[in-house]
Amino acid sequence: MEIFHQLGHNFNWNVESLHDDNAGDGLILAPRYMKRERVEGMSLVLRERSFFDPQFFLPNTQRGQLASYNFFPDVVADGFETSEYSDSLAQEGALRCVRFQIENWFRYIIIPTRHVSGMPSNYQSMQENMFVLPFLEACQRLSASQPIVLQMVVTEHMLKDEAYFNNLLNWVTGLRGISGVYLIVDHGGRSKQVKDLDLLIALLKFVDYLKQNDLIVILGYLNTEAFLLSIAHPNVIPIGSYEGTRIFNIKYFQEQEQLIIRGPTPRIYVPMLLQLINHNYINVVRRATTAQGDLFEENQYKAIMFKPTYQWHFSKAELYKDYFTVFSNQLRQLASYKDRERYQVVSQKIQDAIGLFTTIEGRGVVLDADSDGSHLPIWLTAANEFAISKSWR
Amino acid sequence: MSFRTEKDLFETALNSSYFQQLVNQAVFLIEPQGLFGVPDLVVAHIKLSKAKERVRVQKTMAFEMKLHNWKRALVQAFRYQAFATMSFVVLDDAYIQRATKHLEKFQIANIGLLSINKQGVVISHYFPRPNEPYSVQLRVTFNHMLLASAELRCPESAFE
Amino acid sequence: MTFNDVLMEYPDATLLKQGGQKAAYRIEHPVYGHSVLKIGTYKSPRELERIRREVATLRDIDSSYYPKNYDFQVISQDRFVIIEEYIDSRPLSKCLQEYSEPRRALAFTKELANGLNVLWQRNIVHRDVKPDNVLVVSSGEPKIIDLGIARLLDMESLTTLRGAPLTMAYAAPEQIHHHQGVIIDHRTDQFNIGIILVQLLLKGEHPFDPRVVGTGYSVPENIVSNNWHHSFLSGPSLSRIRPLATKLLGTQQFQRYRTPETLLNDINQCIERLG
Repeated sequence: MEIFHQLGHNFNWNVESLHDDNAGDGLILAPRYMKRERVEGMSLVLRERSFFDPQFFLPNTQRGQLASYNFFPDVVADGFETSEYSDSLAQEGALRCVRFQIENWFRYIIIPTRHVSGMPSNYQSMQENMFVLPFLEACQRLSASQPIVLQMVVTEHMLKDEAYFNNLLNWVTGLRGISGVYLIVDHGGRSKQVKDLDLLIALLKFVDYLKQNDLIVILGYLNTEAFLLSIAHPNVIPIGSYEGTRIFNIKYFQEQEQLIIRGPTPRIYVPMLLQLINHNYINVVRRATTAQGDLFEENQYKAIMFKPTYQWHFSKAELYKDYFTVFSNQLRQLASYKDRERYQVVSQKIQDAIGLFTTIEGRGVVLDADSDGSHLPIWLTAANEFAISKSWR
Repeated sequence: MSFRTEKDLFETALNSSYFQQLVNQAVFLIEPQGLFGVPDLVVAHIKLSKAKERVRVQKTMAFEMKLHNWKRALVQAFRYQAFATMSFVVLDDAYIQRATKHLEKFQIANIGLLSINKQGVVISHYFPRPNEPYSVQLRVTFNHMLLASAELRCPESAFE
Repeated sequence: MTFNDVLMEYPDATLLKQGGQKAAYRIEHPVYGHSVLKIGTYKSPRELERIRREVATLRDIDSSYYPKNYDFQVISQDRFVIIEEYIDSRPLSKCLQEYSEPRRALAFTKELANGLNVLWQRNIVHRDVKPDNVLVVSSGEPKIIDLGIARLLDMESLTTLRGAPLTMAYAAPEQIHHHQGVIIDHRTDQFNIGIILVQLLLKGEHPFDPRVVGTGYSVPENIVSNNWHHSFLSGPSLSRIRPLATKLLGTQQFQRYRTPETLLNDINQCIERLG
């Protein structure tokens, strides 16, 4: 299982973390935030460890740096209506995009996807006409040697509806020419931690079926639920800095600039709690768990942040570099376990975290809903349900 | 008979004899921003140096006022312990039983529980013991706020 | 030219079968020798065009698993004739019990899968694989016939991939639930292979037959509900075939084999495990 940084704003932090701290294995490049010259200027070694997410989610917009890429649909078509982007335009765009990905030696060739909401009945034909078939043809024409991976952005409704779930899987596993799927779930981001049991179970099963069909599975835009999802054995798990890289939200690609409405409250990841907590709770959580030892792993970034005079602010690099280091270490420890063993390790960690939260609550610490571990019983149930379906339990 | 809005509850509380006694001889702040959460009211008993450059905080009381959502109020009130020596939840007396059924949660968290009715009668169901705030940085920030506020309005008794 | 005109050219023609829009006769062709003459009908120029394209593709299939396609003629405004190789054989439906021994059943299934793979590599799905459409020659090799409803997946199709399968007893669930947009691909044929494999092991009994399964449902309903007789696959040797059969008979296509190579590989491994 590899760990890739999902790049967004301030992607330098991710690059530095990968290079300086060996946190992670590669990068998911984001043209929304990186000009073409910047991508092409990266070292070959780094590009070979990374892949490029075309981010064609809203093909007739040109938000951010997308306009610097001559294969972005709106650039190819010089402004178009969605129904017009087909045939020769789609083929030309695909050729240019595939050529870019080949010539930059990225780890995978990504076939992009268009974002849709709800459960459209024409999802498959629309994706095939706009991107899948033109890109597959382009890959063939240009003799692409990198594995070809299909990007999918699925809504929670698509996964939770049994018939739609089956149709999606039947479709993607029946596509010839692809070696994998780059899967992103648009679940609306109603809470910082995913607490939707049905969604988590459906997602675990979706990943598992893809793996059973010998497809590479790359997950995108995940928060700490990546820890839970590791039991389905995806090939790549993402880690991101700002919430916009950990929870998929189409608004970041829309014309209206609403990138950061207000500065998010700095949060710190506590691996034993499987939770990012509001930094203001650090001392009181520490005091409540002294019997369990220090929950906060020491590292160079904690040394900076835990100085009494430190001014916490969401724009500080050490917040995120600490998260990258700590979370990637935690994920890496799972990599040596497989199948039932990995499930057992993950479920034990979740149970341990639940126990810790009980201890914290018992000491009179009342954490808010985004810091209180209330997602953990749901994760444990999801893990157990999945394990039952795999006969691991 | 219950309050119609939280604003009604707040105004009744502020005008009640209980709270009038509290804010008398104290510095108080209404909905101060920039801390951890936004308390409806903070009352601080301080001692200010004659040159007004130093403040010694004797006790601070932060209040979260809600009609009936005691769970949410509890979460908010706990935040205020980051900078205040005592924090309280104030609920509409018409709904107080929802909270008193879970009084142990207030006791364990050391968060006071008060109720108030439309006549302004305040009942204390649990009164917390004072504790050091759990965030050094927020305590410093809060003290600066108090200092700034004390320059504007400060009872005579506050001077050392 | 009428159909009778055509038949008159072959006075020794013997009717082989008749059904739906087709009839098949065994004939002695002056050039091709022992042949099968198949007569079909078409309803429109578009349909004729589709049939022409299919015949052209089938002609390209040069494989011992399929009878050679010799000739195609349009004989009237609604009829066409195909002449193909006659194969001296018996339909599998008449000799199912001869392949009930697990090794023989697997070996036959492997040959059948190899034969269908010739189509799958060309993106063609047979869609009607059943014992009647598999001929067994004296050497035991299968010959697959009746590609009349096979569809080319990546050709521009004049009709969508709809239409009820001709034989519901061997239909995959997605064929029973046919509707616009349903995917029919090589995995559909895999389901048919799965039925045949288990049927061989059951000495000819249909694994979804209510009398065999023990429920009151019909065969298509049992297929859709994935109710098939598998308890007999628990013995020491048959249990090694159970995973293969279960995967082939997956209700959803994603539960079957994604590629022909993985299917063939699994069959080979099964054969090795049986020793």
